[in-house]
Amino acid sequence: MGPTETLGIVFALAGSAALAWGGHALAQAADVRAFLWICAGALALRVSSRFVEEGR
Amino acid sequence: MSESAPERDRSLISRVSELGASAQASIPGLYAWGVTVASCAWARGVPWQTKVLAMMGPLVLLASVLIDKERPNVARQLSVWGLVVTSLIVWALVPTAAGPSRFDTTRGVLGMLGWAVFAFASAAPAFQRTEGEESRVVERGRLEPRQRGSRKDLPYLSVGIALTVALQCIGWGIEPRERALFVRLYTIVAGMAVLGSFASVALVKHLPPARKKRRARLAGWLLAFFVVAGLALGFELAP
Repeated sequence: MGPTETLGIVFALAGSAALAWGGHALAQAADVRAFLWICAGALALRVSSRFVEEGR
Repeated sequence: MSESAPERDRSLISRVSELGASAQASIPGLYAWGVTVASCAWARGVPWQTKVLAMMGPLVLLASVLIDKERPNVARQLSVWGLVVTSLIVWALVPTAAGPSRFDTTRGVLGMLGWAVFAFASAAPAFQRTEGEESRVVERGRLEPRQRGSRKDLPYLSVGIALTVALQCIGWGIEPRERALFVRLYTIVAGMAVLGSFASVALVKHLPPARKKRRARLAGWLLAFFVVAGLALGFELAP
C-alpha cells in the first residue's frame, strides 16, 4: 500500500469521524458546531479522494 | 440470419405469454372476485338469487378462457365487462354486506390490489414473440463480466459499511420531530458519502494509471480542511 493510498484512508477515516461528530452536534441542536464539523468532514473526504487520484 | 430456435426450457413467463389476455387476467380476476364479491354474496341473510348472480362472475371468466384462442377480442370484452357488471350488481343488491362496517381494512386493500392486477393483466398482457422477432434473437449463455472484484477490496468496503451503519445510530429519540427527521436525513447522506469514499479507495487499484499525471491541487484542499477543522476544534474546546 503506497503512501498516497494510506493518506487517502487516513483522511477518509478522519472525515467519517468529523461527519459523525457533526451529526451528534446536530442532534444536540448545536448548529454552528455541527456546521463546522460537517464542513470539516466533507473537506476531509475531498482530500482523501484527491490523494487517491494522486496515487493512480 | 434466421436459424431455427433450439428447443429451450419453457420458462413460466414464456408459458404465460402463450395464454391469451383473458386467460392471464382470469386468475387475478378470480382472486378479486373471491375477496370482494363472494364474501358479500355469501354473507348471512343474502338471498339465493344473489348468490346465483355472484356465481356468474367466475363462470364468465371461465367462458372467456375457453374462447380466448379462437376469439380473443370477444373473450376480453366478456372477461372485463362480465366480471365487472356482475360484481356491481351483487354489490348493489347487498349494500350492507359491501359497506365499511363489514369490510376490514386488510381485506379492502387486498381486494383493491386484486382488481388492480386484473385491470393490468387485461390491459397489458404478456405477448409471445412473433416469428420476425424470433429470428433476431440469438440464444447464448450467461454474459461474463468484463471485470471481477478482488478479495483485497473487502476490508475497505467492510470498514466503509461499518462506519455507514454506525452513522445511522446517531440522533434517535430527539425532539422536536423536525430536527429528528433532519438528523435522519443527514446521517443517510453522510453514510453515502463515507461509503463512496471507501469504495473509491478500494476501486482505484483496478483502474489503469492516468495517462497524464495531473498535479492534484491538494494544497488548497488541505489548507481549507485544516482551517475549518481548527475552527471546529476551537468551538468545541471553548468554555
